Amino acid sequence: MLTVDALKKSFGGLNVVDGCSLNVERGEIVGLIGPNGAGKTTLFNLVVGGLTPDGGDVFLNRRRITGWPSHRVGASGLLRTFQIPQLFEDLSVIENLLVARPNQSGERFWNVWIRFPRIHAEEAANEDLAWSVLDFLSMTAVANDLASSLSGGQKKLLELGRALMAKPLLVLLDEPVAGVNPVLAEQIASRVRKLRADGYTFLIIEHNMEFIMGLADRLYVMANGRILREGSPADVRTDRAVLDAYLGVE
Amino acid sequence: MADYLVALLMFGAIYALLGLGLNLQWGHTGLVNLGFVAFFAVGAYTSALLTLRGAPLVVGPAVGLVVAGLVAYPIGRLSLRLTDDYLAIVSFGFAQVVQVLIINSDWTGGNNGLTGITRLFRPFDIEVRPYLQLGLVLVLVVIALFLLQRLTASPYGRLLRAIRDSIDAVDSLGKNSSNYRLATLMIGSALAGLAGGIYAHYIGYISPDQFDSTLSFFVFTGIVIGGSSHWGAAVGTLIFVSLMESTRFLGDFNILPVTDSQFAQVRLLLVGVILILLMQFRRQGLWPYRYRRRTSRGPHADG
Repeated sequence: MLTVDALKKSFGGLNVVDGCSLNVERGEIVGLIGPNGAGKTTLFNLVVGGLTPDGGDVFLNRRRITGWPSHRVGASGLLRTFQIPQLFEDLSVIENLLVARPNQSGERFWNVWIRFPRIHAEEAANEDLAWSVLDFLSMTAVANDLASSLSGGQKKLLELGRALMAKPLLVLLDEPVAGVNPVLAEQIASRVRKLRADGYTFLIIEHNMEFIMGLADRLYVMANGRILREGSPADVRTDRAVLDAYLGVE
Repeated sequence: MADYLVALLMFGAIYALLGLGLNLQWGHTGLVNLGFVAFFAVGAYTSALLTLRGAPLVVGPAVGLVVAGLVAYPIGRLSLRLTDDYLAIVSFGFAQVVQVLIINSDWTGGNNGLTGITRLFRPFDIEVRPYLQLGLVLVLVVIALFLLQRLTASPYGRLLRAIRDSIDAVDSLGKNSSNYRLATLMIGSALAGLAGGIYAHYIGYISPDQFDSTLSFFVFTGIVIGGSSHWGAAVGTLIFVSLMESTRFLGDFNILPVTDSQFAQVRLLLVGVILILLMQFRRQGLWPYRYRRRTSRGPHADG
């Protein structure tokens, strides 16, 4: 589904991402791990459109999306979450979800004045969907609260919910449990597993080894801008090169 | 005294139109347009120049509205792809450029300004004219309020407030925030252009010093006081600007133990005190924008 082919990016002569290739199949949970400074976030931003690569290609369902601006990447079905949650803090929780629905008639200027029956019908349908997402996230109680009032973990959940509203082909999670307490982290893991069972696909960057080892089907390990290893969590855990990269042994 | 009150309200209502325009840009979409007064000036000069060359009075402000909106397009194109700070700088620079251009051009009357601009409701008796003028502006304010309310209550408006909170998140959801920010910049500026047209035909004389950047900051202050609801922005700007206008002459009554020049400083000092108190006790302004609660769970709800 997602194919990253020999992606390159350098900043001032430093090859931060140095020919990385990876590949995510439909229905998989793929993890991307690596020590700090390995280039994971840069790779992530090259894929979702925050940065333009110096070389290489990104394909989503065989469509070349290399170098697309982030709104086009989002519209093509590749949805991301942020390491530090980027919620619409002054909107209510349910409004955060409603905004995320793609292609709304009511978001076109002229429709606001001429197409209001259709807008109302769409809004009602979108609200139903938003309530079902809130049900899934166990967040119905806070539906009308401001997003700014949520805890850190709830914010991560809401970001996941926002991505779900768009019915994405692939969800990229950027450190979904960073700074989240273990109980809520397990809740997030179980939600991701359930979604995978429903046919969703995930690519996850994560530092929390326990979390990602228990969740991912496959892992890519990155170090110094390159993909060091690819394999199942069990294989990667015992791999000598991976251990060296983490422990800093040459 | 009644005349003075009507004139005060008239200025207040014109500035309320400005407040509504800037509130859409800043309060709802998060655009920091420090050069807002320039669009007011563009509207005023467009309308004045057109009618002085024989265009009918109704055409002037309407064209002023359109031109001010169109002028916002290149400003937005230049700055909105970058972050908000650039819009603040570019728009502020634009306002300076517009003022300098007006001062140094012949066709704008230069520093002397333009005189003899047709007044609104000129055929009517001077006794009733102010009331008709005030009535017209108040009707325009109410229409603008209604239309803006409608716009911002729709999914369109919700998306604007989402953009205000996080441009990155809106883009990541597959929506091109730049288009919406550009549209808002144009709509709000068009409203300022309309206000400018009305202003020119109300006072009948315009000159560059009336379009100083101070006015932009007065409108910002009015919105801070009023809050980001449309009513709040309109009423806040109306009250604040009216207060600033009316207290201008308070020094003449010699009731305060200060000289005239000191008094001007005292007024600004009071503005500061008001803002500090507001930030302490009611940061969201007097009438903040309220979102609609969605309590119903739809037909399939089960809990």
